[in-house]
Amino acid sequence: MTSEAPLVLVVEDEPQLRRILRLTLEANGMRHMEAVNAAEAINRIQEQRADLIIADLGLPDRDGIEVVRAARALTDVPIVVLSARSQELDKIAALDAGADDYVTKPFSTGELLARLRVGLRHAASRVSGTSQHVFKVGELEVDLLGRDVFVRGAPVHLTPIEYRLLVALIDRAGQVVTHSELLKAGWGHGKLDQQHYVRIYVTGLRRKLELDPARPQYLLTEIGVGYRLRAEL
Amino acid sequence: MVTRPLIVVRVAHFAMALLVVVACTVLNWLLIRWLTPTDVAMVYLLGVMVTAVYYERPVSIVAALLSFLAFDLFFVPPTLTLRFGSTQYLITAVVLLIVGLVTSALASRVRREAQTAARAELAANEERIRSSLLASISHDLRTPLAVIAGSASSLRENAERMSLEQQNQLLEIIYQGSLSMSTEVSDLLEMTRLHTGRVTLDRQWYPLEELVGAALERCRAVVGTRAVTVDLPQEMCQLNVDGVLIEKLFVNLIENAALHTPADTPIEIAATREQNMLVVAVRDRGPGLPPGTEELIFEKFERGARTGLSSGSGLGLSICRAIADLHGAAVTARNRPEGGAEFTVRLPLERAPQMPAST
Repeated sequence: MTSEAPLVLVVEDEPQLRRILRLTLEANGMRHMEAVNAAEAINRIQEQRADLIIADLGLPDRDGIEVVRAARALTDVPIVVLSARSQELDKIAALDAGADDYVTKPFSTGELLARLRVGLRHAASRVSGTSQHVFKVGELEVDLLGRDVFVRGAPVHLTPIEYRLLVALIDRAGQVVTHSELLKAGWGHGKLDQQHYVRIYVTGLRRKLELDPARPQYLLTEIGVGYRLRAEL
Repeated sequence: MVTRPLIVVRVAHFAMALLVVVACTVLNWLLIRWLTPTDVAMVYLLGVMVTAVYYERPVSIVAALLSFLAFDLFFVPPTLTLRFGSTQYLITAVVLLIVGLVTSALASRVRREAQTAARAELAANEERIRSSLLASISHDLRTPLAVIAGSASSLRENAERMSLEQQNQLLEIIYQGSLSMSTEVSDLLEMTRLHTGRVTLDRQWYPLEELVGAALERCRAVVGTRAVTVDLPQEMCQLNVDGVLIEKLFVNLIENAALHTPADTPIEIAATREQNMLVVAVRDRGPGLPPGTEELIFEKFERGARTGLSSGSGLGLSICRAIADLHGAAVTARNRPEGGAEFTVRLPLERAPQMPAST
């Protein structure tokens, strides 16, 4: 990432929402540009390099998921989609099409900004080719070189599948990771009828990592979509 | 009243008329030794009546004519010849026809009346739902809207005369009001979706721990700092359910407990196995339910009059009921002997799929 303020493309047809996003982004030191429909969004992405894209899934001319797909074909910048609640299938479709994360409307701008920062951070470490060798959140510490996991300083033994799932979540810390991505990470395939494998192993992981597995602090469930490992508490 | 044209009447009905006549003929044929010609005609009469009760007029006319033909052909000597010229059995033909016509007229009037009554009841029912829906919308959406508009206009007009603290209070009121409206609208949509039968369950295997954990995470803000204890069976319990809906069910029960009890009282979530049922209870230490309302609170738009603390749409619990019904589960409420309310969900447990050998 350049030292310049990041440039955010907002793809949103609702003028008031565009206005809120503009004010929020400016207040948080980001530059912004706008597109009011899918066609304009794709033009914008071709014309000028944005550092991040916020795309509403409900656009007047085309499905927002198509914007995500088209954008992903052109650029690898983070894409965060805005979607309504109880549209889990749309969220999964957007993630499969290449979105990095989503925010459910009505969203607090704090939540949105947190997602944007996580996206920018992942993009930055991808560009610089550097990734941390130690992941740390709360009292959970993972040494990715030594493959060691510590909770409250004490070593924890994970099975190989549990470890692969944890690493996949760390790679995308702070972002949602879908069941099929985790199936691929843990078992090498994404057969959707085996999603319950992931759920059982994640439950096992929680029992090893969380203080109270029924009230997880680190490994959050996004029901119907996947899991999110908190990047910070 | 619109009469249906003959061609629209289903061919199947005419086939049934033919079948009835054939059945009567066979019956008469078998019993002919014991029957007088009048008895034979009576059997046909019965057939025509039965046909006329169930089918429209054209079908009963056909049944009457076929019956007369069969009677004439097989039972009036000389048999196997038609003798239209004879007046002897003309009366039989006319009576068959009249009975068919009168019966079908009476039966179709009864059918029409039943249909009209059913339609009227359906309309009344829809009207009742619509009016309570409107009442609910007008109260539950207009109240937060009034609060939001009021706070916003106060900020716009008086901001310079207010302290930052006062301004922030108004902003918080606007934010909370809009969140509650948003919940309201989602609940209304969810309720409509669940009750119009447009929901297909996406059943998958979920560990109970995950469903409860996800629900608690979503209730974080409502629950606040109060003590929440979770007591689940140690061995992993898997449920074959629509995870999004069951999470919603738990969220609604937890929110219900949080909204209707004082902020410093604890909430307990406990699950136990009972034979092939999983029983999940959400218990509170609030004022409990008014006696006799344990079932009523699951009705649509029934707002808890439990305390002055209540807010929320009054749809939450009826959404729980609808979700439970879809899963073949039961959700019930009772007052705890030691004080507070207890909401219980009984979910059927099925044999969970085996995991492949772990690596």
